[in-house]
Amino acid sequence: MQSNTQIYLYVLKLTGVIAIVLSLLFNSLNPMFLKNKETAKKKAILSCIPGQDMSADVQSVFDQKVKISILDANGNILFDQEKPAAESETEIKTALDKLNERGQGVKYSKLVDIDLASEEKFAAENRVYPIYQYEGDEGKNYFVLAVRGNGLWDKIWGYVALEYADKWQVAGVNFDHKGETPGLGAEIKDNADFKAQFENKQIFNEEGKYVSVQVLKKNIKHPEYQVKAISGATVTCDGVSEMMQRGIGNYLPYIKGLQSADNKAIGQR
Amino acid sequence: MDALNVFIKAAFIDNMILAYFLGMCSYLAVSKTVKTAFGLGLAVIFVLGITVPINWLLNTYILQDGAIVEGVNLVFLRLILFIAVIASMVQLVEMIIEKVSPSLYNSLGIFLPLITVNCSILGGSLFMVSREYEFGTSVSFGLGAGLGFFLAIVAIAAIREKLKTAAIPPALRGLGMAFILTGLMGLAFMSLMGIDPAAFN
Amino acid sequence: MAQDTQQLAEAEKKEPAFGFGKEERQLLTDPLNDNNPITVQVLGICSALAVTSQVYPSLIMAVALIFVTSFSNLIISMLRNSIPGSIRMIVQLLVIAGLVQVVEIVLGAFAYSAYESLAVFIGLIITNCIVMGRLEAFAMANKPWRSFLDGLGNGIGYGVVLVAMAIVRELFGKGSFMGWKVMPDAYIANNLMVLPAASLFIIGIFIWIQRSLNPKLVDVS
Repeated sequence: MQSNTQIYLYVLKLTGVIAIVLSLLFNSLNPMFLKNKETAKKKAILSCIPGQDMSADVQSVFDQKVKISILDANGNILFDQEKPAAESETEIKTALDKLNERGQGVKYSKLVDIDLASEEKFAAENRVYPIYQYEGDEGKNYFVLAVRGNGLWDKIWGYVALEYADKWQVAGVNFDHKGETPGLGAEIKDNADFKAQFENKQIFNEEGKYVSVQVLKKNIKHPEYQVKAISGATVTCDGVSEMMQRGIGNYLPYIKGLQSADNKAIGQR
Repeated sequence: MDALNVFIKAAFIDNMILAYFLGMCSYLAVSKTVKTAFGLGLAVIFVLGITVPINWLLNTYILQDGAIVEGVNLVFLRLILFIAVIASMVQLVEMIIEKVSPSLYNSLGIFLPLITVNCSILGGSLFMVSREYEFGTSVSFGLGAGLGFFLAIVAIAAIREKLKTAAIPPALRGLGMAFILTGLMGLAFMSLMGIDPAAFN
Repeated sequence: MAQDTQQLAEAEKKEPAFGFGKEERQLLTDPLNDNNPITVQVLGICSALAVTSQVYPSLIMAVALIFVTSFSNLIISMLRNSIPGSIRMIVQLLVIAGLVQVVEIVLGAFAYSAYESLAVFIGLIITNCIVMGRLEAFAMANKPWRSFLDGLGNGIGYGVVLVAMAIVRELFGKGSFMGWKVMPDAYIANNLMVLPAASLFIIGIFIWIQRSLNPKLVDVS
């Protein structure tokens, strides 16, 4: 029979060994994990761009072609990335430091770190919104917006690529979810046909009023800005509809600003 | 998020067994009679209601990046700490019940050691982390998830008691049938998905 | 025959024994059918059923589980003589939790998409009864090499059922295999198959088939 001290010592020793092994492994592999996370996010953003070759090196394509701007809650530009991140490190750092001062444990170290999940910790008027400007090869430019809302079980989020061709229209979307029902709500992510419906939908109606893209179960009267919901996933699809309405709405002042400043500039930014 | 909302969701919609199959081993092993199922169900409510909030405190004030000292990230100890808390809590609860209420101990006692390795207990803590609950909602999540387990195990036990007299192909008898029944119950519970928890607010 | 047993006894004396004879082979093959962890021992249903809607995550889950069962068996078997009896369970849990955490860190670094889709279910390997069940039933009483094989066999037996189930569910639920479309375009995916409940039906049917073919497994109760 062993004494209590011996037993405590045994547990302590074992825990110590395990903790040391784990911390070594964690510290050596965590950078890779964070990088994977970043790549996954960049991939999600790029996958809204029509005709994007997703087999290419996502990191380098993203760094070459995408510039990130930050908007405040009123749609004013807080920061506008003009050069690749490597050439404007100090400017980016100042901008991010300002965001990090808001507290709540939010610490951004790169522009691409800014995400709506962290922003949700702040009051609506203190939130910022990232906008990803994609510069295509033939002067074809897209503005990718981040949107986030509630599905049936939990959060849903996504990216919406907008383009300006005489009028604003959606070029592509990408949705993801935390815990929607497989085969039903989860189809917003898995079903390519559902996502394809959003392509070429307008976000302003004929009178120029903002309508976003609506997801409806039936009675589609305006196919130019309404898409069909997934059957059996009503709540999730209502969530998508609400998310698009509110999410694109956050960027509305910015979009309108671009439109009124100079239509040509939109294409050449 | 509202506490009641989380409670209802955890009990009926995100049911530990019927939606996630957590705690399946004890669910199948202890569901032969309603009486034992009742005891295990109560014990699970008890332990989930205690361990989820405790693990919430540990996760928030010790494990998070920079929670103790700036720059120290201990999330890689999460699983070990959680399971240690669960094992010791189960032990503690067992000792306390034995002292305070021997009659409750007699009905719950034998199930408590089983609970340490019940997936739904650790599952509760892990879901609490991944769904980013607050302290208050983590309490109601723990209790709700426990209630969900309780309902499922008592229901299947009642059905299995009736099944003893049913004519089932020999090869399907017992285990095979229990699985298929659980599947059917899962489908039935899915109809509760239509409940809009916001309506309870 | 007598010579055989004598040799075996001699091999047993030498520690560690790395032989691979008939008994060792049985340790590996038994769990595949007669003593399958899922359909016969009914252990470890918990954490794994929910990940079987697609083949790829199930495959990763199976590999993770094989790793955890075999190495936890190995480690506990090496420690078995020094573990104080009163805290046996805690020590086992510590070792399992450590190994699972290793799996989680490694997956996050090398197989991120699987890490994302498995989420909490990686952590739940800890409470997967099959791991602890084998530690108690085998590793606490056997030498490291044989314990390792036992863990490997049970992990594989578990993984086979998992992947088989995922193949059925993905094929009928999505019309694809590992993400490639294999069903003709005219096939309308059966959404029931992707629902969690379907895995219970399938496992029930697997048990039915297995017991019909192998009547000695039939539950007499």
